[in-house]
Amino acid sequence: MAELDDPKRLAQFKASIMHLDSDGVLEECVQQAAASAEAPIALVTFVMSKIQLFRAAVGLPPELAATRATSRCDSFCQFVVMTEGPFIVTDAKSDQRVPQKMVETYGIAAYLGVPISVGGHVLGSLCVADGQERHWRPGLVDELSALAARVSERLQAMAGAELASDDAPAPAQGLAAEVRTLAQIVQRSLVEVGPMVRLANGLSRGVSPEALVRAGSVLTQASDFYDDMMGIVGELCTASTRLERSVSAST
Amino acid sequence: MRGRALQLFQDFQRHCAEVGNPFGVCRVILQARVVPERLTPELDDPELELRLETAIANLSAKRSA
Repeated sequence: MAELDDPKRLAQFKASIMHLDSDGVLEECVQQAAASAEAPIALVTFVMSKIQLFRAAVGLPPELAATRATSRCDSFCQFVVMTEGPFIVTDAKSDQRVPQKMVETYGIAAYLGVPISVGGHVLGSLCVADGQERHWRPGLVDELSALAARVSERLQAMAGAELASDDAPAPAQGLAAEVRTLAQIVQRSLVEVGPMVRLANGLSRGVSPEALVRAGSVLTQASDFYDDMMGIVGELCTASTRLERSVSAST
Repeated sequence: MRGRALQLFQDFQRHCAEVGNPFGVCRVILQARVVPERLTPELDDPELELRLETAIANLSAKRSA
């Protein structure tokens, strides 16, 4: 069993594998998966900290083809990552294991996903989906697993190329620009935290029942905000360390 | 498309103000990795537009869930 929020797993989502440029191998694998399963939809997905990203896809509904992502909590692929094994749904509407958002919004009725891995961690799935109930044929899991192995190998090669370039000290100028951008984002987002300050000021003057209800809602949203903030502050920390290394190496 | 990133951001700002979403704007800044001051009517950055669209869709989906 894998933990969705395992920091070591999330650390594998590097820019080199997450960009959405078309990749010949990944496109071929989703095409083959759709053909093997005789399914209208086939995807390579990444199950990240908040969202599920569609890295390669065929047959997505137009809205999802535009956004290339859904909320993680709505995804079926999260169960592939959690179990680190195939996840099969024959009738999503009556399957209590799966979230119903994709069923109700996009009419997803059946699903079969197998794990894809990078760096020893399951990052997402190669999956097929259909708008009709499906009893997936025997042998399909093995066929998709073979394709998933190709996908994993391809992603690993992409990640390896980035790791190799990480070993060389990056130019300080580029890193300084990255640090500047990340710091500006943190600084700018903090400007928007006025509601929390106003709420705290109000609560310190006394608590009415209305204020308590309002406080509960704001605090819930603040918690999600801090979660996002943690992620980018972590990136800022990493970029600052790399900048320091780069500056040290050049002096 | 030229100016689209700015348009997306401003539309979402307006939406947050209308529905009373106090942390929406700062969360979209963080999730899309965007410095609002760099969004201009001349900016044409499809990758940034995609990041904004994804962040806005993610936040909207979570709020309506």
